[in-house]
Amino acid sequence: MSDLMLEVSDLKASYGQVDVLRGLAIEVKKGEVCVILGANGAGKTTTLRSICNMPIVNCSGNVKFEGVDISDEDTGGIVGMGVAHVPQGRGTFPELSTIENLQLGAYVRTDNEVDDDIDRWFQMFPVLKERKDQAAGSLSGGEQQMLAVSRALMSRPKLLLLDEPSLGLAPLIIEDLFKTFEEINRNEGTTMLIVEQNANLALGIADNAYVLETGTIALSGPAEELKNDPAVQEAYLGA
Amino acid sequence: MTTFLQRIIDGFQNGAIYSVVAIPMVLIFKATTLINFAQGELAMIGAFFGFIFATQVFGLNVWLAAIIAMALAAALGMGIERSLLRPFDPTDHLPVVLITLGIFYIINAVGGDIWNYQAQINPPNLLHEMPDLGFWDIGVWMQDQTILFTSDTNPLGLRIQHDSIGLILSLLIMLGALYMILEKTKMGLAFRAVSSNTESSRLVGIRVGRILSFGWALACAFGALGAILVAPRITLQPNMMAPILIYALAAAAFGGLDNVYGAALGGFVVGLINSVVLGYISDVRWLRARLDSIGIEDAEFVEGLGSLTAAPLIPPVILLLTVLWFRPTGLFGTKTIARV
Repeated sequence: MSDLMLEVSDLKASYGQVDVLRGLAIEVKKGEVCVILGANGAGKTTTLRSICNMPIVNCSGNVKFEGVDISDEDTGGIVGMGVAHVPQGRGTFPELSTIENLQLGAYVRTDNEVDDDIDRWFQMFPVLKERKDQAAGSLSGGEQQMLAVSRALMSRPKLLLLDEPSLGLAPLIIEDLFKTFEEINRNEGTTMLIVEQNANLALGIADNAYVLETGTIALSGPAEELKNDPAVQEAYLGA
Repeated sequence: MTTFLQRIIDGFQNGAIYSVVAIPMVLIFKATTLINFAQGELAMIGAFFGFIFATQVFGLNVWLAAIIAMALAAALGMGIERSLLRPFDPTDHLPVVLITLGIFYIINAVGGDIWNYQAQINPPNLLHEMPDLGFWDIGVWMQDQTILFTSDTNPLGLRIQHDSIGLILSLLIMLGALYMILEKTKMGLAFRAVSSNTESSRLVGIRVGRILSFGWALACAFGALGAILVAPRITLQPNMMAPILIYALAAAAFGGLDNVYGAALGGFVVGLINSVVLGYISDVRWLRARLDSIGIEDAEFVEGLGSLTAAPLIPPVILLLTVLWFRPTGLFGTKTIARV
């Protein structure tokens, strides 16, 4: 039994004539926080979308989740296997209430502990409890991100994919959010693959990291090492 | 005063008819953000299904026939969604709307070929087959064509037919059932999720295609039930829904194209406006007296206005344009909020 949660190899994707991913390979170990750094247009979002088999114009490659090939599985099936995806821009259901958003997070579950889980995430994010009957679209950006993360966790995922969770949020809120990620990873054992531009914070909580440049992996290694890598420091840490 | 109140009552009666077409239209709009021009014809076919099972071939109990008709209409709706609409890109609206327009003409033509555009005699009347509760035989009461308030019993002399009350009550019960399905079931929650954000629906594991099929099935089943209910009043024939479509569209736009309850309200508003406005315009004597009093005595002009009854679509179209001009999302529609 390997200790790999996710194994991606030879991932290619293109929109029309433009190649976005050119033979990407990444590995995520069970229980770790893995980060993909990259500038705008490097292909970070496309990588996560390909893993979940979200609609992309053209995409090919091998994706294995816990040793099982999921390249041809549809998104619903992949979610059912234990992958949750927080898309860029949160992806909440704006017209539905906070609590309905959370219930939808548990859509693939058939057990009867859904309400207990909702209470648990309300404890983690008390502000969501205050807003439980409010339409998700009326929540602030930070609250929506908390909602998006707890909705993803409602499916009790083994692997959580987070697409630029810091986007558009105030620095203090981002710091809190990343602390929460660390806590969830430690307490729940949820494996995380985070795509980020905010390299400082992301490397702070990550075990391993990849640097994505124009559709290929330019650098990879333990987060500590990458933090001290001169090229990374110059390009992403502003040192 | 009596005339005015009577027109209000007539407006409510007609409003219920517009609502039963507007509500399924909104259901489909919620699921697919497209206006289904075939909605009226699908409902018409549903009413004919009920007619066939209740009288022509099988002579079934009217209620049983209605349930079978709803099931058949639901299957037809799912089949249309699966075969004619799903292959197309739902974000490209023009082809999809043209397809629904095509379905409209096909169903209408096929219906006309089979039934010759002639009104069928004695379409099944669900309201007249209501059960006898012992202290109150609802079916017989509904059949009673004498009117609730006659001029003897009320000084205003208003006419309210018993089965109009039945129709409006049925509409409210249908709305209640829809509310339960949409707000209280997992399927309903998934339907609203797809309507709100299709991509995120996939990400929580919802099979979006299945939910779209469900939406079409629900809309067509309710459309069929509505058409069976109103058929005795507007006659059962292949063109029965054509004149109602534009009123239903105005009703749906009024309430907000994605709000079921708004559409029901919109139906009544359109019914009222139509009944009151047309009632007065077509009342030439009344009009002449009013115009006289402000010094306009042009007989030809008055006659011209009177003949506007030939175009009863004017009030709903004006309402439609007014709503779209001032509140493009309707009174209770969702405002699209873009947030980065």
